[in-house]
Amino acid sequence: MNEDEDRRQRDNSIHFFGKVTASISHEMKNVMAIINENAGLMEDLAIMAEKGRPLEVKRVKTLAGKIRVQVQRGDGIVRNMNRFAHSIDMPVDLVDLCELLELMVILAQRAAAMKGITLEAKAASDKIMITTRPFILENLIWFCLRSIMDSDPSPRTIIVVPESVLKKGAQIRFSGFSGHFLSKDNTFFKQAKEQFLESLEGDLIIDSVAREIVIVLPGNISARK
Amino acid sequence: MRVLLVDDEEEFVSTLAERLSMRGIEAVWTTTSLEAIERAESEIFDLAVLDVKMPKIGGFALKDKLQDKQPDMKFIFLTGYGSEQDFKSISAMLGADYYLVKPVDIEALIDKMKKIL
Repeated sequence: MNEDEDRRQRDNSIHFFGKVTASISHEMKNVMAIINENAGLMEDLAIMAEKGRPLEVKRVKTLAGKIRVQVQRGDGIVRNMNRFAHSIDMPVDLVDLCELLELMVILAQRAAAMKGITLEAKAASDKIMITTRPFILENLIWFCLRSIMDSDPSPRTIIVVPESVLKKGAQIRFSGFSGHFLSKDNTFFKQAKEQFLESLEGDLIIDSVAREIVIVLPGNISARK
Repeated sequence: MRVLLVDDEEEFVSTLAERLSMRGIEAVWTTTSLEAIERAESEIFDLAVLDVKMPKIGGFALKDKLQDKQPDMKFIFLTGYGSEQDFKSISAMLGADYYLVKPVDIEALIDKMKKIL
């Protein structure tokens, strides 16, 4: 990799990391806004009780329960953010592809919802373990999801399926978009190959009949070097 | 004062509406921009409080649609941006003068409502 390519990949990684963390922080802000309103309402009820209005214990319990639900929601968001942040720890690592894919689908969920799109990650019957560059693979999955989401006409549901390929490695199948996207958007394929697939030693297959994109990944990236 | 609150987080928008009502402000809430547009066809509002990021039709696009129906309606935007400072450049570009960052301080919101009307 020359200096320009190295810089481009670094910029691309920083951009990706920024996008994901911004999306997570927006979601956390919503959680905090709900907790703030429920706590504020409890305070309002307490102030009114001080002024003589009877305090409804059942109502206070309900509000406390709502706060607890949001704390759990926030905890889930932060847990996913933590998993994502730690994917940079090891440039090359043995990963569970299904878990990694599920994480990226969760992280892209809000962006999809903004466009009225549903993301569906199908579970594989068994664990699919591959040695790869986790952060670059996450970036590629995000890039594919965002490119499909931004395609015209906008898809309603994007389905992502991890699959094991006997003796070879694994693949990720994206479907649910129009054929128009496959035939017109050449920059998508060029970018995917240049920015990610070379580093991942992977390939991208376009199935225009089934209207699918398939990312093909080696089982062990370091073993092929 | 009659206010339309629009945010896709139902728990947030319904509770905010209740708290505003406790303070003498008539607040109607919806969780979708489409429902907000429908309501604006049959009801008059002095002001709308809109979340910037909502599915399909975001707050800024919704403002234009509501303003077409009720030109006198005023607007306050709510954002999940890190700080008001972060949001300032974007809001200036889009012509949004009044905005608040989530979580919202209800007294600050009411102050802005009074200033704008």
